Amino acid sequence: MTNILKKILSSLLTILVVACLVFLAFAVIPGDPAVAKLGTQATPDKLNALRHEMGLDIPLMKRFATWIAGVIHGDFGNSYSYSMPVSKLIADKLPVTIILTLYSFVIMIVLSVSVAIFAARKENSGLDRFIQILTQVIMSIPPFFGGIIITLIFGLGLRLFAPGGYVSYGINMFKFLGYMFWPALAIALPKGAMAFSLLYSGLVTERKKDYARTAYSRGNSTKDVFYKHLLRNACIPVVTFFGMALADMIAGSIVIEQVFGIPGLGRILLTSIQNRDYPVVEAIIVCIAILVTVSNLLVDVLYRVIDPRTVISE
Amino acid sequence: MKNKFKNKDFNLIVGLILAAVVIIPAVVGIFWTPYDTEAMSSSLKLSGSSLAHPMGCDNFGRDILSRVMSGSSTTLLIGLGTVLIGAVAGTLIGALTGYYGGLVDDIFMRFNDVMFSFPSLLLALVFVAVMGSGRMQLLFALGIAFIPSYVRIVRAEYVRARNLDYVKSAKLAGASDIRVMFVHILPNTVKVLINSVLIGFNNAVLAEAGLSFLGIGVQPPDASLGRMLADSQTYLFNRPGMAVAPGITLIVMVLGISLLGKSKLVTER
Amino acid sequence: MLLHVEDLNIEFHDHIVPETVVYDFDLDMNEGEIVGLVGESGSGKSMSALAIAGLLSRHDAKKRGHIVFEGVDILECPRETLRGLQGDEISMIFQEPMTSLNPVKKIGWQVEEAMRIHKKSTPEERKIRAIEVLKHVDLDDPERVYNSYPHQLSGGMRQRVMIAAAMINTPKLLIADEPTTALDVTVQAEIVKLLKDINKKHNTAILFISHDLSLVRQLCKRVLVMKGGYVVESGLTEEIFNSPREEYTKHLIDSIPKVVLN
Repeated sequence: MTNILKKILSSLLTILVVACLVFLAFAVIPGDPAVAKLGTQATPDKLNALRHEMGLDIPLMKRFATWIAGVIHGDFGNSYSYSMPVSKLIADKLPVTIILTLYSFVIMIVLSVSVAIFAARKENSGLDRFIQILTQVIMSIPPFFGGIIITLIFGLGLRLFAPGGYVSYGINMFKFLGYMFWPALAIALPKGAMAFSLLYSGLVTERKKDYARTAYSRGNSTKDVFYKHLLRNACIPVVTFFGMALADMIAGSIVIEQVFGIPGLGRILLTSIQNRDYPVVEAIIVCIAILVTVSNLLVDVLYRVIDPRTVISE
Repeated sequence: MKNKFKNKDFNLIVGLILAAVVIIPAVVGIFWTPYDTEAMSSSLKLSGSSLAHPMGCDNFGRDILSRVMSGSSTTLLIGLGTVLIGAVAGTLIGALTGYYGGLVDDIFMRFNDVMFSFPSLLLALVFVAVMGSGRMQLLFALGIAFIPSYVRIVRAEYVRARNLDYVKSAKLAGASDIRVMFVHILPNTVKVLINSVLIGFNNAVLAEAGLSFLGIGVQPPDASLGRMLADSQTYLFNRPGMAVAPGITLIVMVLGISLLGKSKLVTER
Repeated sequence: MLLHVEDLNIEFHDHIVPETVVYDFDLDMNEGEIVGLVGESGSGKSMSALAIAGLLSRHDAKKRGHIVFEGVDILECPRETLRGLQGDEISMIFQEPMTSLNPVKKIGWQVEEAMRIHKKSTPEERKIRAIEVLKHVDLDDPERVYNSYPHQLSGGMRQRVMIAAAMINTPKLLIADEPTTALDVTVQAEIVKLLKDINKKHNTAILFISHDLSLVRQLCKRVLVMKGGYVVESGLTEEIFNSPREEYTKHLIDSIPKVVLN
């Protein structure tokens, strides 16, 4: 238990370090946000007034202290270009990105586990080899191009969904999830293909172990041997990958949102980068840092749940 | 994964062919393309494939083949540059921290782990946000973003090597630390390094395409595969070829390199 | 007759030339009988045992002949029928107790498994029964063992757990494939005594496979000696010990440490 507590503390520290680095990076780079907002033609008076309004005339260390204090309370300051609190700006966009990430993660797990077991049961058959080659190709598809292919085939071709027809979860949860399935699939496919090959080799190794034979000797069907005995053991070395995949999927979501016209963190992050709207960029990066650390923490817990031996060997 | 083909190295052959199919035109594309990549023509707007323009033309009437060639050379160069920055800096940092250990190593690794746990695409995105867009900025952003992955691998090798007999005997023979690090240990890390360089190249290619797709990577009028994919979305219904050409190019490049990484040449030594 | 094996031949096809590992194996076992199967490693004894337990389903193993258990031919019956027998009427324990248990599942779950598969029962009934069999195999504190993971137990304890799991449905035939080889000498004797008790109490027939003739002598009335895939000698244990016909059997008997014999 103390170990978990230590992890949580170090996670908090990590987030704090990221927050500091991000703030300092944006504070020291050349380029004046006031100039960016008003243009180079603006009069010095107007610029100074805006700088004062933005709080840019306060010394850096004091600004930094105020900002950090705000972050701890969930206040990220005001956006330069939208003239509203950053927290309000991203409040309804954050859940969209989180849901998309988790959705992709679930699809990745379900796909990789079921296909890996299917292929491992047919090890060395023609079908198995076909799946191996197919996953090798899928692994190489960049998610955004995967999104375009999905739009082309399932959206424009088969008309299973209307491209660009995003429905907010606040309006219709069912339609929201129906639409989000496709971008989630685009993110999940390449990661799922990687998870597949890791799980597959794990299953094939586990299947040769003695306990698999014991399981058969008790009258288990092959399906039960795989799902009830081999799967969990095969997952142990893949858990780390799952954790990294989850973090990568946050990045994937931000890109895929652009393909499917989803109003998540991605779009606002990109426009803010282009407008040099640093408070927004900083806030989103801190949010992502929190998501990444939380997902690392979850993986750590998952590891302990899946493999009972880790708890003892601490 | 088990290799299904016992004698022939299937991965090596197919990997080489696929990589060559994309990389040769990409190298040619640095110096020469069939048409000027920026030459527009209103009469050729969104035209399909023809003898003169095998992949057709885009929404400005620019030759897609020329743009794919030029875009892949950008991708190739950025990929190589990124790998170079990442591998050199990563090897240096990993070698020093892994070899000496101690407090500096602890702090560095703590920091490195934080960086590593971040998706490299997001890391690059932050660097681009700080440094601005463009080819050179992208090169450095990606290069720095990928350093942590090399540090991890190289450091682990050095920590392992530190206590091995050949290193101890080299030290006893009076070799300096620098000599032990780079003459004795470094050649032994080459195998793992080659594999991570190949993986790193692919990740860099995908990240470059991703950032350019988002519009914050390579800036127009420079051609880039990611940007071409982004532009193609509007015309997806009428001219899917506009998306397919750069998309397939990316897949073939990444697939070819990852097959090379799985070939016996790299995995067995 | 409980088990009737006739003309069993096992061939492997995973190499270029098919490799036969068991030739013309015959065996008859009655209910409640303990039969020993001895031979050096590679003599085909484990292969025969796995075939009888219905565990040689690898696609590259070709089996000919008949293995009839209570009127059912294990080599020819449908998979479902075979699964119905496995863990219920026929149970098996293995040589390596360290690796024969699933490392990520609790002991209780694994001991109960055969009962869960074959008998309609509630979780409470299963737990009561599991604790009972764990007690029967002389494990102290069965409640604690029930909630443990395999890595928390010693080798001897794990083999007892394996026996408990095999006995949960009181099978008619227990196949023990070198169950003591991986254990300390003192633990070996305890396990042999335990198998004897089980045989007496439940009238369970035991096919005891071992290369250790001294253990076979303690436990089995009848014995089959295997060499190079063939049964070279079979009969009552005492007769074979006193007047072995085959040179090979003599050799096996001579290799027993004298201290154990006396």
